[in-house]
Amino acid sequence: MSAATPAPPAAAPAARPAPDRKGNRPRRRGSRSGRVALYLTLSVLLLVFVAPMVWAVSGSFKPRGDIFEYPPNLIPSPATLENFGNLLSGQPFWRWFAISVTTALLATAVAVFVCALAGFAFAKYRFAGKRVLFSVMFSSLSVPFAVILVPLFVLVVKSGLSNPWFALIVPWVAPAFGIFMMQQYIIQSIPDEILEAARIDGASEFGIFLRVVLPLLRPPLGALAVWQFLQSYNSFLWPLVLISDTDSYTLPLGLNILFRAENRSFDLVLPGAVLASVPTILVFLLLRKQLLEGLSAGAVKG
Amino acid sequence: MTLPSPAPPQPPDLTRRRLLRLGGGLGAAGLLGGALTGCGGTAEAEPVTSGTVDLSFWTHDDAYVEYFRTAAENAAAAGASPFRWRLSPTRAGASDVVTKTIAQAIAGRGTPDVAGLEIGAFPRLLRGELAAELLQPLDDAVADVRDDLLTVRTAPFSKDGTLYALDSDAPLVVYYYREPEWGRIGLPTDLGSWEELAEAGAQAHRRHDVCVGQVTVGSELGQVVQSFDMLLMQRGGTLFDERGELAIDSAEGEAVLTFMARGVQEGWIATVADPMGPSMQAALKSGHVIGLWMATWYKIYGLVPNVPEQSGEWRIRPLPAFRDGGSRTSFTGGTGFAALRDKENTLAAVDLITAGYLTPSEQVRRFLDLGYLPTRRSVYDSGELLRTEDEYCGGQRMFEVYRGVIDEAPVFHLSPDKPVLDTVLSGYLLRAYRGDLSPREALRRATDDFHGQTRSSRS
Repeated sequence: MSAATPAPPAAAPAARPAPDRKGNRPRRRGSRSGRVALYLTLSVLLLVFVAPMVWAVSGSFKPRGDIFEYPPNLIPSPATLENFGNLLSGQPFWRWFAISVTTALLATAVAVFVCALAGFAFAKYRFAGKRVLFSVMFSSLSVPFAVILVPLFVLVVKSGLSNPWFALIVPWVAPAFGIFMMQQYIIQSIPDEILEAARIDGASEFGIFLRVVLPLLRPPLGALAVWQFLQSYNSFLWPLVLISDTDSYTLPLGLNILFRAENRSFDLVLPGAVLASVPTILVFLLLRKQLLEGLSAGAVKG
Repeated sequence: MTLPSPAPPQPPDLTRRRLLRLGGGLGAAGLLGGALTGCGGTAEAEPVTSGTVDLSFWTHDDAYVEYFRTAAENAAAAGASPFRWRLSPTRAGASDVVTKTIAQAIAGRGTPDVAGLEIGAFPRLLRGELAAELLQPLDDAVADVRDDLLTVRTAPFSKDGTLYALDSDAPLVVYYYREPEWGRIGLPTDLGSWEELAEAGAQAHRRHDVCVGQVTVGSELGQVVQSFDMLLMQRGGTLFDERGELAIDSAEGEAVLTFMARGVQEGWIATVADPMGPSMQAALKSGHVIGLWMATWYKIYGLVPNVPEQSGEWRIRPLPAFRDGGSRTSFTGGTGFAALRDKENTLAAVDLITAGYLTPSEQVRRFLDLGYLPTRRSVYDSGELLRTEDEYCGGQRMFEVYRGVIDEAPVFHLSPDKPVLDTVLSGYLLRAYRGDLSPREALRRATDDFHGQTRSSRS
């Protein structure tokens, strides 16, 4: 080997990726150590977020005296279903559950339809007072629910609509956020030409909405449905004011009285919270695809 | 017992429209807390004077429902009332009972006949004319036993000299200690002063990592202030004086906060998020906390459910005294039961409350069933109560301790601005515990902030 042997490449500066024909260099992928740090950070964050849920599930299978044992033990020993039994036999849990799920589904279905319809009208039609109406609707986003609670309650009572099954869904059927979201999506994603083509084919305006617009709105509607379901399912203040019969409570109210009891019934609250989370998980799983598409809509240049 | 229809104090002549205007302005800030000032919307109903009545009964604790059902049966069996009551209970969180009641009153329907108003939530009804508008005065109902009722338990539920609710308890603050642990580490259980206990507790903490007290530092701001308030009242101070003026910036306040901050910083006072919750249970179970000052109800709602395995180990005693003054006990907690006014069941509701809460036999039963202390002074001499031995507390005759200190119990007063104080004072207490502020500075700044907040909320 001659003395003129070139230096090993490791000593040379890192080669830069070659530019493409337009002169753009491809984005550099993160270094291995960077990725390891990223994954470690994400793993720690995952643990932080998941740990309370794991603890709640674990605690719901422990005897009351062991729930807060120190040091904490995630594997119940002995494991017991007694807490679930006590919850289901001693409280009208399934009734609370049924009321919550039913009203949340109803509110979601109505809200999704109303938001799509209103968003379509705001996006594609001209009518008198449109700007004012939209501004009023948009500005209502900044009003906390607590402020409108009393007037809304009086309105519901005075108009004779205080039947809980109906009144429970009233505040959620036309959320300003949903209408705004639909309006924005329709403006960005549905060209007027499609609507004109449908009109030429003889479709009515409502038919256009049902057959042309609504199918195209599936991604944002999925995202809206998940958001709306959570809003209604978790609502506390409105059902609290509205319902006075403990047996007709919604789940948040029911779990709250167990938690707020003088002796903090964690042995009932934890299994209740675990069961209460099932519908939200199911809704997320069912609408996951639409949710992700809806959230990322417009984020990638077409 | 049939009650004559009492003459309620005349509220201002306010319409519901004005009420709603007031509510609109105050609703967001106080979550209905100030929304009903001047509710003139309650329609006066012809009162039912006898017979079977269905009473809507709102409370945060199921135990009250069972207690009053039994009281109703007892009164009916004794023929002591023209009414027979059937309770229709609604349970909600303590503050939620007040929120619901105010909201329903605004809507002009659906208010309860009887409401249990926890003392931490009751100040919301002291604002403006709320109490006078919503609640039936009970002065006539208690006239026969007024001298025997503990003034210290009627004062918090009174406004402008009118009594609006009867307290469920005379929740004296005593010192709980886990006797075997104190014996094991050689801590004397009969130390006479906090200063002596502090010295002994500090040594025990250094050697055995135990705590002889706890303060609450969690997100429930009322609980944070409660820790401080118990000792403040014992030392002779008060949050609010009898005119409702803030009084924390005092020598007593500074002395108590200095004591507590020292305990936290030296480690012999533990900090927990919730005295009834997970952190406290862990501290009790692990043997980290072996003593604490707390109300009489803490045995039932704090110790028994959290550390049932420590049955037989706990004892109570009067609080050690502060060397510079004060008494050997204090108060914390309580729930006043009130009847809603101008309803057809108002008389029946008042009759149920008095039947359940004023007779000596029911006061004895209340202690035996619920652990709540009598609110009539004469019942403290009850032989039955004095002989009662408590299994969880190792067979101790706890009532002897209560009778020994009941006459030392301090009077305290509520203010409609108590929620504001909870908000501003809790943060400064935590800073003083951490040593970020001197106790004097913490109390002075809390006072300044309180006055700033209440000025702005009233303007």
